[in-house]
Amino acid sequence: MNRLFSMAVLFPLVTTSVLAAGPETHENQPTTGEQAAALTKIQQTAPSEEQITPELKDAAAKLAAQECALCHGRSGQSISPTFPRLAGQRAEYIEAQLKAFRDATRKDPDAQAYMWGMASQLTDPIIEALGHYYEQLKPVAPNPVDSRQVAAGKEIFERGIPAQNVPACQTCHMAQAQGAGLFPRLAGQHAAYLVKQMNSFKNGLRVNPVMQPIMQSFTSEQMEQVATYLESLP
Amino acid sequence: MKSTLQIISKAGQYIWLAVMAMVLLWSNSADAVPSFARQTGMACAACHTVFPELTPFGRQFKLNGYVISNLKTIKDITLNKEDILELNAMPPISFMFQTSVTSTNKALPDANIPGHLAQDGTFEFPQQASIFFAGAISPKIGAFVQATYSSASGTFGFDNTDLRFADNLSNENRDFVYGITLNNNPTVQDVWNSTPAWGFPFEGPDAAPTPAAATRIDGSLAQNVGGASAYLWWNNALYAEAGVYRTSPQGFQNGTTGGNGPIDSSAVDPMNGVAPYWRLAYQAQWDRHSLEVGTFGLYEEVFPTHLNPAPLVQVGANGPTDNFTDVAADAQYQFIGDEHIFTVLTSYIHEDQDLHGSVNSAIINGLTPPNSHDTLETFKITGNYYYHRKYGLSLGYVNTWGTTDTALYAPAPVTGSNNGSPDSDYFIAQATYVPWLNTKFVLQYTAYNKFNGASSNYDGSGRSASDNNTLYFLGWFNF
Repeated sequence: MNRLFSMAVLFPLVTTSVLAAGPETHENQPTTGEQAAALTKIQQTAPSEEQITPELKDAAAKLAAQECALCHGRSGQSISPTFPRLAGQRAEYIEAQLKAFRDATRKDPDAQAYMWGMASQLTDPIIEALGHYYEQLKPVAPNPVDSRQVAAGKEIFERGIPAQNVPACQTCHMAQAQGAGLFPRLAGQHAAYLVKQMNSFKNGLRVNPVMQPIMQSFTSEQMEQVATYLESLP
Repeated sequence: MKSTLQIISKAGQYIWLAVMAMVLLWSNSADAVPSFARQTGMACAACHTVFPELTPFGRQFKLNGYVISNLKTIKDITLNKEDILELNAMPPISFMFQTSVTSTNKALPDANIPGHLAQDGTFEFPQQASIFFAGAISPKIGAFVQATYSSASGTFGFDNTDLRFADNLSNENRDFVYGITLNNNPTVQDVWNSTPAWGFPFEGPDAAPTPAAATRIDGSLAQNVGGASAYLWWNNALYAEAGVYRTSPQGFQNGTTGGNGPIDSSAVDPMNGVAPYWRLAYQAQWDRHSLEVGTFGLYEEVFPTHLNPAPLVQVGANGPTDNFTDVAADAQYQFIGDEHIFTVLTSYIHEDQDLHGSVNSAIINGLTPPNSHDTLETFKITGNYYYHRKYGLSLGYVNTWGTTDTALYAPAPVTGSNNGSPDSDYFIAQATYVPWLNTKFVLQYTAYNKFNGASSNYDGSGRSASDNNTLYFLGWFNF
């Protein structure tokens, strides 16, 4: 419910902010007052770290190291781009995704093949603890990349694609792509994973009222550009 | 003179019976099992590129003891909060059915009418049918147990079996798993498909001739031994394993006790003591790639009882042994993309054969002794390509060569060697269609360049290596 609520609030916000800002959107544009309020609301409804007992923290750390790590890597640093990097990912986002896997509502192919099973017996408290476990892990900074691809991706991320009515990604995912609340951290993520998710939004395998309409006009080339840029971010 | 010839001929028959038995057992390759999918809730594609080839996660699942489970469990606990039971609520049972059609380039001789050929085209329904128990039996113990009905033997027997304990001690700073496996086929416990038990070809005919010579570790011991080994898996990179095997034949009855033991010389080729097995492998992973290089081997002392069945003079299980030392190197490369999957599997097995046991038996019985010392080498390389895990093409090449030994490799129609050479080399080309992840159709063609030592008249009865070229169609269903 919480997620649906935030989507409902943010989707019009995102659209209006893009229309208002136009092509001249400044870099690192601060979030508007309304957006900040919405984000705060999301963060407030998520459980705070203090609410997680030490036993749950230990259980989550053990589960992460002994099962999640088999694909997502030690300390959330996966090797294969089939599996997303989780270090530093937003706790609320992880929580929402694990619940979506458990409830079989997130339906992209790898979700079905891997995560529907893995999440099926997770309880809400352990899901919350896993979210906080991964959020506090420090992401490994990638080697800086400077290419035309990255520059084009940066342009899309920071200014959107006004001709296609695509808002700036940073509006929700934040200036350094660090994410906020339910909006996932994208910085340092595997580019191939990001492209696959964008395609999953585009073709409706991942249902999300914000991302689905945005991705409709994205070309494969634009997906590659923005994903390459995001993977290069620390 | 005539009786000596009869004896030799009879001994020869026994040798080939033994060889054929080994080949039949060896061809029992298998499998991926829906039991694991039911237990983990994960699709086949999580653990397999296309079954039975494992992905990096599949290797982890196996090394962790087949215990990762997302099923509801039946539990019990003591007052001290000690877990004493954690049982899958649903038994991890699954089934396999293989049906095949096999046709050789030239039909085989008719066993009933000398000079005539048998009808070509063997239809087996099933070729093999298996039942599996595969999954966790407690939090740290898991099992892969396969029982197979084989059309060739007409019996139901134990196939590949791997019971293992594994403990995962990984934390934020290290990945570390250790375990113990009890299994019945050296390399069946291995997690790379470059070793014999799960290597290419993943499926093959049992109704066509196959080359006579094979190293001991390359399937000769499968399901006829039992072994225990301990392993370490460090940082998803280094794998080390050491253990021992001991003869454990199926269907063996000791004439003295009427029961199944002790193993004496009435069992075919019992081992002297135990055979040490070792394995060392290094795996590197980057992006979608994984590369493994490794080595494995076995040392085995065997009483060559197949050479002197009654009424020959029997040496027994106290006489001199044949000693086999197998040392192998292997490598595997995998690329696992969303659309394209590509694998290269290769291995080289060197076998040193000290045959003084066989020499002794032969001399006592006035038979031609083999060389006291032979070597046998096998090189295999395979490339597998899959598109969307649905359409596959494979090309494999196998070359076996070694010391010429007219006593070991004697002339016999179809299965023998005219020149005493074990050399065989052949290509396998295969098209694979996987309409569903648990169903596979295979069209396979095996082309022999050399078979048991020669290309033409290899058996001394006028058969050419290419006469054994085999077209094989397989339907393989797991459910």
